Amino acid sequence: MEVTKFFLSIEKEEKWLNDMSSEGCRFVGKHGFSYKFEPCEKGTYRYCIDQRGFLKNSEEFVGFLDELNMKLVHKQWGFYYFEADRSCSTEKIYTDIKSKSSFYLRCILWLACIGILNISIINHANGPYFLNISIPIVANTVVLCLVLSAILKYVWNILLLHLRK
Amino acid sequence: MRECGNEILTEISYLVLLAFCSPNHGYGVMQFLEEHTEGRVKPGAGTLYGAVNALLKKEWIALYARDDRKKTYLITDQGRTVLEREVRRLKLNYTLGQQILNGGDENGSD
Repeated sequence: MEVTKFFLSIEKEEKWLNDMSSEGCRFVGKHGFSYKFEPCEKGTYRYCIDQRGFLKNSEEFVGFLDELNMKLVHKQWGFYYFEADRSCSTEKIYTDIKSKSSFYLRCILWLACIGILNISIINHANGPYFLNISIPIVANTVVLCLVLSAILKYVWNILLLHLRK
Repeated sequence: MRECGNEILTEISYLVLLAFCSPNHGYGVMQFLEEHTEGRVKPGAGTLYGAVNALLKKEWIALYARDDRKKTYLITDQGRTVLEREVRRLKLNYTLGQQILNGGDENGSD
């Protein structure tokens, strides 16, 4: 089974994968924006996503999590999708303030890259035109606004983390 | 011996360092934490990874054995010194707390 979906928020993506799992769909891979699922027993698997950007020791990290029964399902664009079954006791990947902040910063970095790509498309795009309005410019501006709001949300998350401390 | 400074260990660093007093690895440390804190301290996998790496960087634990993908670590002499100092500090603070909260009040209810 394949589903195409587009997420800007990792939390929403994780929640969606977990919801699919509770309905009996096990996430097994992703191609572009298309998610692949296989049938499974409802609620057997939980998913956690990490954004690792330019971090260097990712293979060691994957090995460490593998030992804790969090298996890597797929990696794409710096996103690492981990699957935990009922034998795994950990629920989230990051539970302390420092790692969570780093994680949010990496998410912001990833979004910033998309934002820069949007801006460069807006600067260089021409057609196709519809009613004298350039479609790429409008589309990329919309995505840029979404990206900026997602970045602001992560910045707010980081602030909350430190304020609640 | 390198000067360790007067840094205070966070609870999780302290507990993870204790877990490495005998050769241990990621999964073992997680079980140690669950067992000895009755499930109270349950770090995320990434947080535990960060804690282990921080201890490695400070040279308080060192690689003991490597088996396929699984790495086992053991506390170093320096780490042991840090632990002993920390236990002493905790004991002093604990004793002080006990004295003030329980000892000074003769009519105190229990």
